[in-house]
Amino acid sequence: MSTVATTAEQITPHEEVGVETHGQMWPVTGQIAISLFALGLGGFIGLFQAIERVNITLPPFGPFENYYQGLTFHGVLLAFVFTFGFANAFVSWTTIRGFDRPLYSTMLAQGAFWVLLTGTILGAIIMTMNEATVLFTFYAPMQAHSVFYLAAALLVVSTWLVLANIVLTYRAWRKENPTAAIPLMGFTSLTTYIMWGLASLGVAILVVGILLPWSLGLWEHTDPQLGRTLFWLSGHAIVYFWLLPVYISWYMFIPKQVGGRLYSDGLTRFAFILFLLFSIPTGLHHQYTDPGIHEGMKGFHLLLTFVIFYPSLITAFSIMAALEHGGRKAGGRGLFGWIMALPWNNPAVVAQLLAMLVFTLGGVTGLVNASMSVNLVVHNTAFIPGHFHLTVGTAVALSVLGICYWFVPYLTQRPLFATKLALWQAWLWAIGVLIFSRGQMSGGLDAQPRRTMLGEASYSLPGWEVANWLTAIGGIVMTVSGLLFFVVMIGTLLNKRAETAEEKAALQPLMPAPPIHDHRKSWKIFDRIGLWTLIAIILILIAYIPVFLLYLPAEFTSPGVRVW
Amino acid sequence: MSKTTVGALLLVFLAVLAIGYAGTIPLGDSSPREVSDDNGVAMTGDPVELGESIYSQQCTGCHTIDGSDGVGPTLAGLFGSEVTMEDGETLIADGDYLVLAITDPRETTREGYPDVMPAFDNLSEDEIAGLVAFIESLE
Amino acid sequence: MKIDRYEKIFMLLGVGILAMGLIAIAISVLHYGLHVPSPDGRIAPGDVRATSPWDEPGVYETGDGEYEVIMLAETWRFVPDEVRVPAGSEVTFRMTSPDVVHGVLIEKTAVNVMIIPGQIATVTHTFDEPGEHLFVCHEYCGTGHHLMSGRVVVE
Repeated sequence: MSTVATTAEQITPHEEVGVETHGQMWPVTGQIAISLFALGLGGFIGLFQAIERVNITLPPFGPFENYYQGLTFHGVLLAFVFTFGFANAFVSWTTIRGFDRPLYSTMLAQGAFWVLLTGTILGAIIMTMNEATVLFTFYAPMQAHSVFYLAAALLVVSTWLVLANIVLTYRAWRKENPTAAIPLMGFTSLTTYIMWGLASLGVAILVVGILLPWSLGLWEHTDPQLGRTLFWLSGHAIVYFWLLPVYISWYMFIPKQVGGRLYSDGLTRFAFILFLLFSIPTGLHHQYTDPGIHEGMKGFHLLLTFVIFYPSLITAFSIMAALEHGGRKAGGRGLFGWIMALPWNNPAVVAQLLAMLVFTLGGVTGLVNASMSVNLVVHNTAFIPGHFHLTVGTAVALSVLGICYWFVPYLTQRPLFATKLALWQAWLWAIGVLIFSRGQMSGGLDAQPRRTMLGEASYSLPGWEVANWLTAIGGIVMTVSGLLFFVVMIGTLLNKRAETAEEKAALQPLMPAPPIHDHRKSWKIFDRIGLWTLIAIILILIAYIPVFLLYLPAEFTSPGVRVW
Repeated sequence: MSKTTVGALLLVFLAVLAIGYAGTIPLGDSSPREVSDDNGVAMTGDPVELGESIYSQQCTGCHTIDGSDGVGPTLAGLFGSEVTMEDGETLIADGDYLVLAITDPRETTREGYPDVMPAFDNLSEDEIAGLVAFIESLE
Repeated sequence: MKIDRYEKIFMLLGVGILAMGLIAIAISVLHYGLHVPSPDGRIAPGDVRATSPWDEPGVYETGDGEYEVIMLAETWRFVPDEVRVPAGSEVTFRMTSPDVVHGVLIEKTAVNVMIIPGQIATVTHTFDEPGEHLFVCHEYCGTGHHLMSGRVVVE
């Protein structure tokens, strides 16, 4: 074991880093607020979709005219606003703490908040007006109101502002530290946003270059197959943009929270480099059944998809090792004794531990989806939402709730309200989602289509009845859990602000403990961020140029239709 | 939370996992079977009731009966009213028009509405008559 | 470069697991012929209804025990929505959409394909056993999406 300078463990007060005076903390708090607001609204609408399956239609789908309008609202708010808001806020903050300096530009930091807010409000209004019932995938030639595409573009732009800020911050740090290894937390923050910066180009070209002008009437037709390909160029990598901020928490904070240490510095960097390289050239595995793309290219993306599963396997190892280290230090004995020695009374930890447990199932079902021939059984069936409620709906969402249990008290300087309620929240979510996804996945394996108003469908199969009930019951349990979370959050906001030094000390931010194995010196090549970015771009070109070459010229022959 | 509670919750979690996911996942019978195609529409003597039943199964996605607009025009007050077609022509929505609108809707698209309604030509004559009677019954 | 022993073991195990998965998929494609769709031509959505063969959708016998189903997926129905073939038939579905994106999944088969305006989707399946197979539209295509289904009757 090597010991490392403990500077990372010391917490520089905000005042000394200078972020408060720079006005960089309120955009963090503000984007967490937007994120949680989207989670509450979008998540609650999910309840109506779950119970519609057993023919309970409450006055109709909350505030919405029809099922699909509510479903669009649910998808857009959760997949884009909730996740983007959290990533922007949390990763901005881990950048500040990682490099131990304020962000390069306060204007960019505040700009990201305003752009995200504007995009969210515009999107919410246009969806509520029933002018954009196109679901979160907005496949052309279904044509939404132009404001919807504008809102989508703004949401992406807000992440670009954060990306620019992180890169500039890194460069400013590098100037002052020309030879030092990049601090690990800064490294993970930087690679996360560079990956998304590259990935988001596909959807940006689609929305700004094709769909927005089309919805404004500049041209009449689109090419739906081309649109889908551009969408999924971003559409798988976005999964990692949801996941990596949570991985940052798992790698950086969870070891500390369980009283252990991260296993290895080098392995962590390796995992994040793999995410940067392979998240994007895998998009075709969402399009295995698209008629316009050659099978050979699909096979190539299949290969790369299996590669991108690898860093998550490494993560499983690293995190388990850190947990065991913490558990044994807390007195856990025997093969499994360390599990019960983990801090099961800390909701921030419990939520994330359960998220990890559920994620193992999410990972396995993800491999099922990625396996080209097996995908024929599950593509576009209810198996898919069953899968991604285990991943983004739990591994990410439940972890975010867990992170909020320490991050929000720290940001607001108010102690967490009703810890016990928060613990029950985590357990209910984990058990609820297992029931929910079991319903969706078994229905899916029995040919039940995804995102379909099944309660009113003109068809049904015998196996679906039990599946639908499980989905509905699981959905109700998850809703109760969600309500508990907001009770805890509102209670926290109403708590008295910490005033005494002792109270303030209890609300100090977490900082990572140094890793057990630190081979930074022998793994210097991991810090060549520019090189890795270049390789990532080359991989994207290799994976996608043949796809477009085989497909082009695009044929813009499909007129826009409104079908809701 | 006490250790016992945590232990119990872990057990519940693992039990749901084991019972739910370890068994064979599909709940349905995998042998070939008859697929019901009557859509649950009850056959009754009264054509208006039959029409209402079909309406509630197959039309509510697009057509309201309370006067408000959906994807397609409302059915309230439709019967006997003057309607404008895509090409600007106007005509009276009588029984013959409604039969055509149900069986060959792409030829009867009204001004201001998308050309998306599928032809419901799989309905029987009784069922179509029932729908027309139901629409006629709406004020 | 230093790699910890446990790290190394786990990393190799990971590679092994994924390699086994890839080999299994390769076998399913190359040996058992479980192919995913590949391009089969394009057609402008506006021309579909006036272009052969989609101007006359239906089930056609093309050879001994071979059938071709010319199918239109439109808002919100399949034309035809009932396909009757004798047991043992090899059925080729040729499908396209004149409006928005649809998709079709035939239960208890490996037929699962997107039907995208502008593209011709072709899949083949042999129906061995008599029985009925529900097929449904599995891509959201508007307010009536859940009304869009049909069945294959194997006699």
